[in-house]
Amino acid sequence: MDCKRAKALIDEVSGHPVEEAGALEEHLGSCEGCARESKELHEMRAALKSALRYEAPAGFSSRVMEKVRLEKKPFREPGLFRWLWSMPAHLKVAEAAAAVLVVAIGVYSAGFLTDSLQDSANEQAEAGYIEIASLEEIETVPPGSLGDVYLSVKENGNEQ
Amino acid sequence: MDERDSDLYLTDKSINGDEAAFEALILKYQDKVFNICRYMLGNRDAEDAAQDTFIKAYRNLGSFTPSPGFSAWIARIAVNTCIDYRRRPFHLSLSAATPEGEEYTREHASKTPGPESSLESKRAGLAVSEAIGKLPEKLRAVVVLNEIEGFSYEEVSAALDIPVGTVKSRLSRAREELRKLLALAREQI
Repeated sequence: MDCKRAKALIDEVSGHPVEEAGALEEHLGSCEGCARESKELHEMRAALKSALRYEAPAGFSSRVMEKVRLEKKPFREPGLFRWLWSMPAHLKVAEAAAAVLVVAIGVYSAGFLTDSLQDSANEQAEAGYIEIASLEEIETVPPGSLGDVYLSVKENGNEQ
Repeated sequence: MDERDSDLYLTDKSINGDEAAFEALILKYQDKVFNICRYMLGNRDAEDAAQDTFIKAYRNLGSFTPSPGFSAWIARIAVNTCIDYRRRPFHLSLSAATPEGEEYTREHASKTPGPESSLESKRAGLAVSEAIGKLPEKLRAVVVLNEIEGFSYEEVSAALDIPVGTVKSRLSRAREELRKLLALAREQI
């Protein structure tokens, strides 16, 4: 075991993993630096265990409750996030996957809808072109019509 | 019902207007919150800050999320409240000093010693507590939460909003500082 691993293990609060305990002991037996560090840390933890823990003064909770009664009722945020947080991780993943699937299906089927719209729009457009084209081919003033007579009268008048 | 479920149950009931449920939460966490405030601020503002912590918690109950747990959630409010108190002008702290204080503050070493060693251990405990009080604020918060309140690295990380790596490095710096402070205290005796 090297010093880096030994130091990491010394630093673990929750005790050493059992399988590495022997190797650590061995390392501490041979490495003066790590042995000193381990000893100092144990001493420090022991000292910190004796540190005072201050308790709330008597009547603390009733003094807080007096102030709480003056407060407005707490407001609950819209339930979605709270509900999401409270779910186990695998459910969160499942939920996200379901949401993605629903959106994907939506997009896919919306594609079909717009495709058919596109088709009918194209057909309509084509029909329109034909109409316009055929209109151009038709003479604006068919022979023998009222307009033709009017035009020829007007042209004759102009000539005179 | 485990700890987390019971806290969730109590917060839900509190939101629905059950005062007794919120008082139960106070009673459960008041020592933890007071201890954090006492270490962060000293005796003068500790009770005020602890009270404010619970008022803020009450106002924000709606945004409480079960992860990382009520303990880390309220510790975070407590630490932030203490930082605000530290920033406010000195005269406000003076006028807000509560008449009760030291005499009502029950204190005891976190590990109950046998009667024959109790005086000795109390003296040692006092020296350690004074040394913790001399640490810079950031290091002190980590030591109080991890070493005294028994928070895991993850809980400290959530309570202080810093990465786990930072928690570890601050802890080792704090221990180094404490070693020096305790050695200094021993020399003075």
